[in-house]
Amino acid sequence: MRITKEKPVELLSKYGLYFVLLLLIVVSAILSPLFFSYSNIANLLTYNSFTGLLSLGMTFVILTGGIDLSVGSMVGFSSILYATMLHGAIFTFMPDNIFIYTGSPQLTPLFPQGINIVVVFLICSVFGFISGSISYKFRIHSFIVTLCFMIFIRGLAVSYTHGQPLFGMPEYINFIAYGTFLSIPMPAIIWLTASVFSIFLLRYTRFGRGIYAVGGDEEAARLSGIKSAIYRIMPFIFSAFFASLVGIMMSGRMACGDPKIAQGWELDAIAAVVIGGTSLFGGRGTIGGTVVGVLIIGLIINIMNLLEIDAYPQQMVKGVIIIAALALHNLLSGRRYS
Amino acid sequence: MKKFLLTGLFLLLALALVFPAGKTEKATIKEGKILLGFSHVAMNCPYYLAMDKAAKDTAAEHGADIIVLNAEEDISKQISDIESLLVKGVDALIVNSTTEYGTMPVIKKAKSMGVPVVAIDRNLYGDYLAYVGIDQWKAGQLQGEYISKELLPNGGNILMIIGDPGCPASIGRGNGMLDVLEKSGKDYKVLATYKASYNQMLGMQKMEEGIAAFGDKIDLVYCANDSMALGALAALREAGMTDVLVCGIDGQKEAYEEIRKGGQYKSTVINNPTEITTKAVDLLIDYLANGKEPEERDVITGTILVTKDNVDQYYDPNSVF
Repeated sequence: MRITKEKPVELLSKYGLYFVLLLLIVVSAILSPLFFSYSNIANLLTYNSFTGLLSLGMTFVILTGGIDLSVGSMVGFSSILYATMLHGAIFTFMPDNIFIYTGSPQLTPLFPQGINIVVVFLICSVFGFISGSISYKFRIHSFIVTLCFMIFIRGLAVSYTHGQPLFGMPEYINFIAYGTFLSIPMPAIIWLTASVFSIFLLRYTRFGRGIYAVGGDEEAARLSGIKSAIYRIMPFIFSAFFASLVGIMMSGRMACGDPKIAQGWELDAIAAVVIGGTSLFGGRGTIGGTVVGVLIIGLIINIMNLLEIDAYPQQMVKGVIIIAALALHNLLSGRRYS
Repeated sequence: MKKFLLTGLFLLLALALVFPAGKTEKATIKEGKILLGFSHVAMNCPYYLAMDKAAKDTAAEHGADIIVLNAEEDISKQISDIESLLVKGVDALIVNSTTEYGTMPVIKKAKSMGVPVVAIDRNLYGDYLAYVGIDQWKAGQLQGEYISKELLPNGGNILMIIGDPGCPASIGRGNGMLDVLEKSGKDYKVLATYKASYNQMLGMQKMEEGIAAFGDKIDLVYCANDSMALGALAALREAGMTDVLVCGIDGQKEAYEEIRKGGQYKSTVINNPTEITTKAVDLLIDYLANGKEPEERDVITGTILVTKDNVDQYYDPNSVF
């Protein structure tokens, strides 16, 4: 069923996704004069950086045929973990009364400033390692393992402070959420840097080729001497790492740690990855596609907000467009499943 | 054939995009007209829908335009919503915040752009013009006093159903009541505290769990809002436990009806979404048009205990909520 004869169609099949993105940008620009304003583009990029980073980790996981449902919970967990560490503890069990801060709260970090972030990264990565290992070792599909982790980690995060947000963030954390460099928002810079790094990793290293090999056909990869354990577990560590990065950035955006944020974000990330052309069966897909997938969903939401569409029709349009984009893409590339 | 399909799909996609475009003319900002922005936490229950309606109605009465965005209980979406409202050039903002602290940086940003912010329903941390809503703690205290003086003067076992742990409304309403009971010096015991997210169906489910666990020991069920209380009431009726008392908060129409009947539903506290939102819009228009600053930073509405003695005064069969 592969299209080989017709040149323009072949071109479309290769760059179909980028074409859809371009089409969306043109349509948005026509529909709203506000679309190309600096503040709108900056807002669009900032908001989507968070889903963008989550879907980077998710791409690694899905490329090996797995799925990671725990990222949303991990964002909430890392946010509150980081906040409690800034207040000088790794676990504070607060009483059930309200905390009203007047003025800036005094921060008493557990470790010297930068180290706190590293510790958060480490703890979250260990969770990623555990879920990946369980899935690999006991041959339970990661859907089930990470579903359990999703519930467990959210529970852990909420019990940290009895569900209450913990207020107070240092300046530089607020900067990575609200600041700009060369008038590009910081979250967007972090997202794009991480994307470039991921593209490099997948395309030009042995590790990247291993991911594709194991995702495509694990048995064949094993027979050709690839140790599949690394390629099965590492993606979950990446995913958890990116989730904790998002958690810290979100803390800066809210100026507090909040254990209840990012509920359902894992689905947004998965949707973006799938729109980006990555096969849920593994072995096929690119980071570039994922970035475009995030932008497509983000653009649709953005333009509907600018046009003042009510929230409920927005959800309908979002659902229809995701299916339409997928159908279009698969038709163009002559693929049977996604 | 394939080509046809392709063109068809492209057309569909384009259509799907153009379909919402019917509303574009609304996006153009009319000269001289006040444009308000309302960042709403969610629109999944009658309480929030009443706020949405009241905001639109009151703005229309004043001849102002209003944009309402729904954050779907996601703080990140809410921050982004507020930023898009600022992009659209609103003159003032009404915020019903997902959490009390999370919107602080973006409200600071609004302030620096000269856009006044009014917080409704939930108190905020940050630099805003005014808060319009009930006094959560006092609402709990009113119920506590009524329980300790009228409903259970000799002490008893209480089952609590709260909204969400950590949410200021649940904390204020719950602890305000417990505070009074503790100070009364009588023997009250909280059997358990369930969370039911202000949802009627969950309220019923949690009550069923409570009945299974404690049965006849329960003397009174205290719920952080009327929706959950109505759910709990249904569960109690089904179990034939018609002597267990129920208390709620909000002043929902259906709760008034139950109180009027004089059954086991005993009391509620007024927390009227229409009143709150109308007052917030009035206050902002007054500030924008006449430069009038609100007299107090906390504008407290409602917070009145409603029992069978005064329910007729507040009951309106035609109200939205």
